[in-house]
Amino acid sequence: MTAFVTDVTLGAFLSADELAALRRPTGEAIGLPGRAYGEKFFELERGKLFPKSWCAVAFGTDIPEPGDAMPVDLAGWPLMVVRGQDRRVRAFHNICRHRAMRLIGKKCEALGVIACPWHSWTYDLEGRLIATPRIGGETKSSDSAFDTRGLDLKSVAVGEWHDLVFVNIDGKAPPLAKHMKPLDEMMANCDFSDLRKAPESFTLDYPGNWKVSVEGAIEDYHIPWGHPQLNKGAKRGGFALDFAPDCFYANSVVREYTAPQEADPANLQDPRLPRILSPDVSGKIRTLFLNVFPTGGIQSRENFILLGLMLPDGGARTLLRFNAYFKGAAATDPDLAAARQAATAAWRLVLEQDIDFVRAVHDNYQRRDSAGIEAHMAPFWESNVLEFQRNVVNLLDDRT
Amino acid sequence: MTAARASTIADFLSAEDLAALDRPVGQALGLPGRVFGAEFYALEQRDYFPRIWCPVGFASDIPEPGDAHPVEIAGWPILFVRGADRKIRAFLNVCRHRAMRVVTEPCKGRAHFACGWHSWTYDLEGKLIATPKIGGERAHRDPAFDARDTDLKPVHVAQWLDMLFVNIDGKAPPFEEHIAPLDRLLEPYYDLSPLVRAESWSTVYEGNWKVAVETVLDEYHIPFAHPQLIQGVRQNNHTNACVDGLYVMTSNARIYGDTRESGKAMGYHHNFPRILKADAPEPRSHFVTILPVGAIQTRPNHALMGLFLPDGPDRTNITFVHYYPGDSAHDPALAQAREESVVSWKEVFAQDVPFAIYVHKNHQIRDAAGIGTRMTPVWENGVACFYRSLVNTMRAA
Repeated sequence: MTAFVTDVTLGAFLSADELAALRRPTGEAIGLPGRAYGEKFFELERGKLFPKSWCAVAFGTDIPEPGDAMPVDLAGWPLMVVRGQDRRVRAFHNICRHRAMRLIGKKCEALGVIACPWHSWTYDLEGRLIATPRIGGETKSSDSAFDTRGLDLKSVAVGEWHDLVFVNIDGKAPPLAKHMKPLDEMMANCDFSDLRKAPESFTLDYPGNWKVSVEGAIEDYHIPWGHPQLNKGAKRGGFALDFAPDCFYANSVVREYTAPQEADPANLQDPRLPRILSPDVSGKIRTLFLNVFPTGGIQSRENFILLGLMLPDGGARTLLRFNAYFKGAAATDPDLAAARQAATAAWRLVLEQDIDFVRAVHDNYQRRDSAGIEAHMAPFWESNVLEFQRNVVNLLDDRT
Repeated sequence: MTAARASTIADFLSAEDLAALDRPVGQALGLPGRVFGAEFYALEQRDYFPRIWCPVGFASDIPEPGDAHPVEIAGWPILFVRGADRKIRAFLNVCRHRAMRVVTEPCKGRAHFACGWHSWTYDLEGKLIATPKIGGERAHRDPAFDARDTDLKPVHVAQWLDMLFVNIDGKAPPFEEHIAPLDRLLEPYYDLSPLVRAESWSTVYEGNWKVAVETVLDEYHIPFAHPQLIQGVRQNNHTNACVDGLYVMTSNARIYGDTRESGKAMGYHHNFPRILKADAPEPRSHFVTILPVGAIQTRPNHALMGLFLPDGPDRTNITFVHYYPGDSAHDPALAQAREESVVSWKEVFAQDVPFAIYVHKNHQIRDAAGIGTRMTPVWENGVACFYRSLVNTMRAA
């Protein structure tokens, strides 16, 4: 058989010269060409990147109770996450083994079974095909001429890290706990114990490719111009970049305030909210924003954390979901609602302020190759953007 | 410059895929998801639709001489015209000058058709009869322009009841031979000759045409997807059958607990004359998919005919026309009963929309997930027949 679209390789998009340019030192490197942000390249990523990676696709708190289930779309892969009677989270392809109908179309609660709406093939919460009503005629639920063995739902490897639910479609990634170890170590200053999801959560719709969306979120270079409120009352403190290949791409910042009373609610939270970040050796609190490659996001603050999803919807749109987590009763205490809302709203604003950049950069990326215009990255601020792009390329490169 | 090698069905289906489809239905696999994508659609446009007798229109759209109706089947623009001799002709709706579509909207009572671009003008038999200004401001002829062989390209056309079929490549066997088994299927039950066109309706499914057709090939899903259709049914005798390359039939003989209520939506209105023959083997209803994209649904006193016309690889335009015997098709006293029937059938097709959308979407990814489709022997022989007919025609290309 000859090639299908899904058999397209990285070489069809990036020349050897372009790959070499991406691998030069940051100040001399050239970023991914604009064509890497189009629909065709997204097809390649759908076939080769997302199935290989551990990808955050949902929150455990989306399906808190046994029988809760939710459909998720990972870059065009229709999946579902289900909490079983044993309280374990499982993931399956959301595809009936009969004639490929989608099994669930919306979040469901307390399911006993999963029944396909078309011909009622019925699966238990562990994906086993347990009933085929009428398969053998008006009143017969079996047929000796049809062997139902081997027709359980196709499962997908799943793992949980705090409230984030990850899937690995090809099932070949190392165990999630091992994969996330570098992030655990990097976030050692964060006390995850007894963190609870607050009612304050938000969603955003980014009009651009998922990589544009991530790249805009993992560098602080644009803060003074894109989010000036974050520097209000602050003299900039220590700034640091950190990454672990294929796992996370982070930037962190320490802010010291000349006039703390002027600080934006994004930076200065109500002291009644318990602290979750411990100071570093110099006694300073380091907060961070990071991408959990490829679709997760984390914002850590002195007294809360945001866990997020940045899920591609086609090659030109990214859907963001962020949940806020506070320590213990502070997550739900009605007296602290205003404090929680101020904090989460301030970060929602920051992510909203990026929408115009995402749209305009995405649009330019569809054309800039023809104009002969390349992307450059500042070594002090943006080596993580480059590392993120290199990881994309490494996962897509059949030779690596 | 060398053109890339044209693709063939072997580029999409391996010998194993074909063998899996041909196994007994209970062990067979359906076609892989990649045949529901744009690349395979391009192949169907070339190797499938032109080679068959394909249902594409209704004669009642052009009732009078000079009426014309443009349709499109998988990208092929077809123009139906009723001539002054009342004969229906079909042409490729492509001007022989610079390929403009000659007729873009249905029209009535025309003597000729002038292309909108440069006014090349064809009569009702497709003959190029005028080329205004071709030789200059006032010259309607040009000795330097050879106007021979510039008539509209005719397409083989045939009519069965109200349904119009075309065979674009002109090489299919005679239509009468092709359609005979369908006549033999329905003849014992119905007298279809008094049927007159009444209401019609259209809808669009955002899915590949094959997925759209699949939604009507089996009765297996009725209790789950259309429970109202069997409301009040006490007993049902279901049968199905198919003829390769021609039809997939499902049929029900339903016995109702309360015929006044339960059969109402499905047109068992007792005040319509019957088309079911008095000597019919038993009162049944039939849903016959006329491969690949037509359908006739017969009930004891009315019928529906429909088309599932592909509009690109991921969209299907569906039209259904309702027919009743004689005057009952237009009797104002029966208008409400006819309207109820339209509403109930539109509801059934609306209920199938999610299947068309999400099965289509899942087909785009399921090969990569290693998920094949399966068919049940009792109910879904027709699905296997549909795909085998498609594959067999395309393999012979």
